Amino acid sequence: MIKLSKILPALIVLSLFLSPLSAAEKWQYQAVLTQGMSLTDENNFYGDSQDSPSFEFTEISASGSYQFHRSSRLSGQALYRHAGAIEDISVDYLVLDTQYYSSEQALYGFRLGRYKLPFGLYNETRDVAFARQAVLLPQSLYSDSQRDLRIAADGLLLYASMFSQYGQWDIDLSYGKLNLDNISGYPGFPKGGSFSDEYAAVGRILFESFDGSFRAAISVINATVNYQFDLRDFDETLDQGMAQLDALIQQLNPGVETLPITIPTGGDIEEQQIIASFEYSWEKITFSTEYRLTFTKTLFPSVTIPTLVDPMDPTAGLTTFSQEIPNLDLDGEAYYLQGKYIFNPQWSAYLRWDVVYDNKDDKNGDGVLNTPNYSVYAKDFTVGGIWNINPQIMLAAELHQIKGTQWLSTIDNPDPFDTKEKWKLFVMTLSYRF
Amino acid sequence: MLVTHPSTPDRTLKFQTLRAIYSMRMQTWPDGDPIRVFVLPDTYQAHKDFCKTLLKTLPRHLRRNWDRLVFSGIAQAPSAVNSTTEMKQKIANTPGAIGYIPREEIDDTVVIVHIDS
Repeated sequence: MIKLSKILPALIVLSLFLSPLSAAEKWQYQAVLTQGMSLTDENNFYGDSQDSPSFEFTEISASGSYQFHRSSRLSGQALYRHAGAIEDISVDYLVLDTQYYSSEQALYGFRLGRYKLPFGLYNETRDVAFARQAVLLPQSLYSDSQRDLRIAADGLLLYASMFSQYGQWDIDLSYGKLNLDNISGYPGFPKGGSFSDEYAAVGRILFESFDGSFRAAISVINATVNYQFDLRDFDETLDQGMAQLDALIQQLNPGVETLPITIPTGGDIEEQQIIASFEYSWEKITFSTEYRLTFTKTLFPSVTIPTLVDPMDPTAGLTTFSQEIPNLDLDGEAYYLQGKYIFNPQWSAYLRWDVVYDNKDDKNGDGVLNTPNYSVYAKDFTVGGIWNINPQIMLAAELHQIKGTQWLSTIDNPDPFDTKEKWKLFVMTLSYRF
Repeated sequence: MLVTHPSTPDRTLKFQTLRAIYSMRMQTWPDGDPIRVFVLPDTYQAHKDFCKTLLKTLPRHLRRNWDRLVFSGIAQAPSAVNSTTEMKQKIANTPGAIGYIPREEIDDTVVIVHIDS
């Protein structure tokens, strides 16, 4: 549900950019409306999509930019997004952009405020249909179900571009605080916990050849998050066990003070990602691929467990012992390959093979507990087409054949054991820009 | 032919500078005045010719980059005009303007800029 406190800043951004354009020379604004439809044979995607179509995907973005000084600009975007169980209105980005040096060889500048995380080929424009040129971006790298962890941050971004006769180099370096309002829990952990200290350092170096036919980039993400939850909220037997132990102790040793009990409740999660991106275009064909390695390390605090001093003599009382919990290391892998054929400016079609593994040392999920083994991977073969009806209207459709549920939303599919491994997804979007 | 407003400082541009200007990344002339970029619609032959012969790129690559920069707030889009006549008028009346018009339409309200490649 949408909170008023979230609508207000978005409305301020909107009013800023939709106010009378007296200085039209320096103002620019645009809006994009996208309505989607999704249909699945198994599992739910963007609402209740099983066997009958769901229309629970709407994206409305209004962005604008105001050049108030020869080298400084204010730009922002308000975004309304409804995707299945998630409905949100937000300030997608809002930055003060100052270019403090510009010459024929190079330029440098910075952005201050809420910026889109600069990684890969698509992240900054993932919520605008005309820029993603697809219904869904490859979910391996641009997952919608985990989008808050990857979308934007409040902080500072430094940028530089260098121009040569061969092409252009773009470098972005950023550090800021993430906004995790719409994520139900850290992936792989119980849902419903709370986040704190969520920061991301993101950098990218991108080269584009002089004719725009070749683009290549390396991006690095270093994110830290503290995620806290209480296991007793998620496991009734654990809760009952604790209560029984407590009752037993009280019964055997009346009046004893109950000792503090701590049990695993999350910890500091450090995540590193490295992404290699590559795109090459011929006159009619564009080939693109991106490959990502993810290194996730969870540092659990040590756990104290109450225990009887002497197991044979309960009246001897209680003590505690401290147990170190080993760090959890998980190395994930994701990649996609896509070929697009451009028939003419109106029509194009594409094929995509998109794969993600939570743990590249256990790709089939043989070692996972409490979740189906197919929830730790997803392999998606996609056929898609785009019809640019005119420069303002775009119709896009995709058919996905998927094995695995790694990026399936746990909000739209609350019980992981209720999902199926093999599923088909048909999605369509109609977009209008002005 | 590439033309600019008479007040712009350069009569020749390096190819990479033209690219940087039309990719909307370079936003000021060497003297610090803002650059104002004008374009015709993607489907016009004059625009396709400009992309092919002067920028050595495809209109869709240019458009993709503009969309990427504009929707992410990194840069503003070039100003679109609907005819070469309008292009010439806008360039003549806008300090810092750059655009392209056929050779036969050029008069002394604008100046020709050569590419040094």
